[in-house]
Amino acid sequence: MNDSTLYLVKLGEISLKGLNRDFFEKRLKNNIKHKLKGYRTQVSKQKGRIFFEISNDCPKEIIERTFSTTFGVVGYSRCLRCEKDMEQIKETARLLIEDAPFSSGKGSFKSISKRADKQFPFTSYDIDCELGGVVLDTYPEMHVDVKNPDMIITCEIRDKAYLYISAKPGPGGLPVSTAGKGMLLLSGGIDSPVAAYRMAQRGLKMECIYFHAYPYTSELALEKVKTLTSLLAPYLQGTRLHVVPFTEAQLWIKQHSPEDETTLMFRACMMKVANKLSLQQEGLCIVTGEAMSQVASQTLESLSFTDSMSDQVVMRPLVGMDKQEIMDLAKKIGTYETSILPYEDCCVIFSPRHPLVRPDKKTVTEHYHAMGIEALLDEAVTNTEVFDFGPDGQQRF
Amino acid sequence: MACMYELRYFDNAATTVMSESSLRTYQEVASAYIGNPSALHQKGLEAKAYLQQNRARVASLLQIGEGQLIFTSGATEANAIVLESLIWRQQKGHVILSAIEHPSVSEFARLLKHLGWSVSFLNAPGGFIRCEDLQKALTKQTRLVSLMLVNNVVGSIQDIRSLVRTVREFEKQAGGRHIHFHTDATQALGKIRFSLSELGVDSAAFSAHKFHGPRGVGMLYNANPALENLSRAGDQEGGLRGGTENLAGIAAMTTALEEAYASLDRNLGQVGEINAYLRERLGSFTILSPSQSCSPYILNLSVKPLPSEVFTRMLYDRGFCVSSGSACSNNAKQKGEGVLTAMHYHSELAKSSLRLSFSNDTTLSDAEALADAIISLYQEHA
Repeated sequence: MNDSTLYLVKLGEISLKGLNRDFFEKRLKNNIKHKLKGYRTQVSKQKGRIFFEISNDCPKEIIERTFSTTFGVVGYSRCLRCEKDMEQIKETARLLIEDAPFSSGKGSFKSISKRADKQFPFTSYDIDCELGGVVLDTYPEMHVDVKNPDMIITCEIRDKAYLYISAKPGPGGLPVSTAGKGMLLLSGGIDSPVAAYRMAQRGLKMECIYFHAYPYTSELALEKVKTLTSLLAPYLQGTRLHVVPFTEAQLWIKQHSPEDETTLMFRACMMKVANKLSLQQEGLCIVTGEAMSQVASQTLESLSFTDSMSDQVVMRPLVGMDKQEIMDLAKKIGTYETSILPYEDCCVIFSPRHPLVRPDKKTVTEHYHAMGIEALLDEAVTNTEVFDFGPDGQQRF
Repeated sequence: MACMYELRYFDNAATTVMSESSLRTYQEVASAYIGNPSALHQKGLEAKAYLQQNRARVASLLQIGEGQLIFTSGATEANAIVLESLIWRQQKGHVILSAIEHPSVSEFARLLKHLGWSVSFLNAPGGFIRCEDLQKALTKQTRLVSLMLVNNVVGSIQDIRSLVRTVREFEKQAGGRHIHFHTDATQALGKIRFSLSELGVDSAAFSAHKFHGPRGVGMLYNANPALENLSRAGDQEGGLRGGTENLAGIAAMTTALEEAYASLDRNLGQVGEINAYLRERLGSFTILSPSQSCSPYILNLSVKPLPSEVFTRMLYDRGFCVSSGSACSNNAKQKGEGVLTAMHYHSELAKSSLRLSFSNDTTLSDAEALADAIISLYQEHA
């Protein structure tokens, strides 16, 4: 392919798969191609690597965003390819180190060589030495440090010789969709986007559900959730946001349940609605950002009650995490700043002053059924609005 | 959410709609006076003369000297010029503010404290700052007192004259050192009658867009020759406010102010009727605006237990723009709430407060529709 740049993608856990490895690799390849839609790409798979030749009219930022947000990518780098001939390899290395970070001409480096093709007449050590020589000839001020190098030049001998410098880390994990599909309860807080990231990292495809109680929660709160969805969309390979009108249900709960149980009843109803939507969308699980004992509705007793309201398995990837850990991850994936915007996801008039912390499952289950809210929940599902977000994070109309 | 109803505007304390004649003046002056008032050519001289003519017209309305009138970008800047002038002082003194001030005044407390000044806040039980509280707070180190004329949240009119007298009496006892008395009169100008010389303040801040003038223009009245702006610039506005004058804005403000003064009593009567009508129709709610010494342009009431933010959205969906005192939030102290707490209102009232504010554009039928909406929404949801 002319006028294109070669990229090498390193695979981690996928390489350990046995007979179904092809399934994971294909999915990863398709996920990446999906994000590069509109630009010419050519893909070739090799053991532990996938090579992408991407047309040069594709902007660098799109390529960066694609590799850094696609689960299954452990590392990636721009890469040069040449014949398996030492002179050509050295010439290619000279070209490669004209770029950053080598171009600064200062600091320490290391060369790493790998031979998948053992027929190649030089050993890995021989290649390392030759590459080191090239670097030192070009930049006499640089020095070798094999323990803590500032930068690395790598040469892999396969069907051809592949050279690259300092591969960037990808998000790791397994390609989205390899695990199936689930529904994420997205609140607008810090936790649920992190839960989505964690599950997507294990290959789960997700659609998001937000419960909107206008006018008790503001349009700004909904806008915030849309922003969060768009930030998550690249990690989820695109997603949809289901906005469930929840005002009627909340008012019904407020009128028909004991005050200290209202939060639990909200959670129970959210589970019910999520199950209905999941069934519609052919999902197999519900994902929440709950962490053990973080708030009253997340004690063991409360979780056990809300869990029993779901027919589908409920995934709580943050259940054992510390709040600080969750916040750190939220900052890393870029959702933290949006999550902390001050638009409450539940109005104060629906929050009991002293919520029930350790509910008796049998009693609250009876109370739930006595409310007679199912018809209202069905209506909420019928009136749910759907917003579509592409893998580039843009809302699609 | 799109509004399906006819829009009715009850948020005139936030900003008013620019009057037609003010807008016309703006357009005419912006295209006719092309010169910079500081320029020496004919166009500059024309602009300068026109600027001075506007200054004279406004000064005569306010019954102050022309040299005491500084055009600014608004009341926020006018307040800032006075408060920032303290930063020039070598010795760190003491400042008295009320706890019901607009943020453009109260937020300076943080900066001043950071710089080593001490700041006292006066509460205003029931909406009014009390002379005895001011008297207790005054010290020999007090350099500035800043108390607003009309409160923007409930409309209470402070007895600035007595408060100034309290300060002047203290000055005499304490050896004669002058204490600067500033008042933020943003919600008063063009709405209620007052005389700066009778109030006896050293400075006062005003904003054009509260009386149907343009945004981005305001004024500082200053009778204290020692006042010095923190920011350095050209010597426009007597050196107190540098930068090329916003001539079109200033002229449009003059027009709006002349209009407001010409119809002040008539407007006061009309708005007073609307206020009285709403007080009666909404009598079952707790009215947070005082019944005496209160600007009729502002009426604050509580829709307890509904959070003000929620009620504001409900009203907007019926076509009414009103202001919420605070946000629907358990922890975040939002605008207005702190002010109402300083007036010794219970936090439940503060969290559910609704500010209705009027102008001469407000009609009685608008007010009737608003009262109907508030009552029916309240019955439906509370």
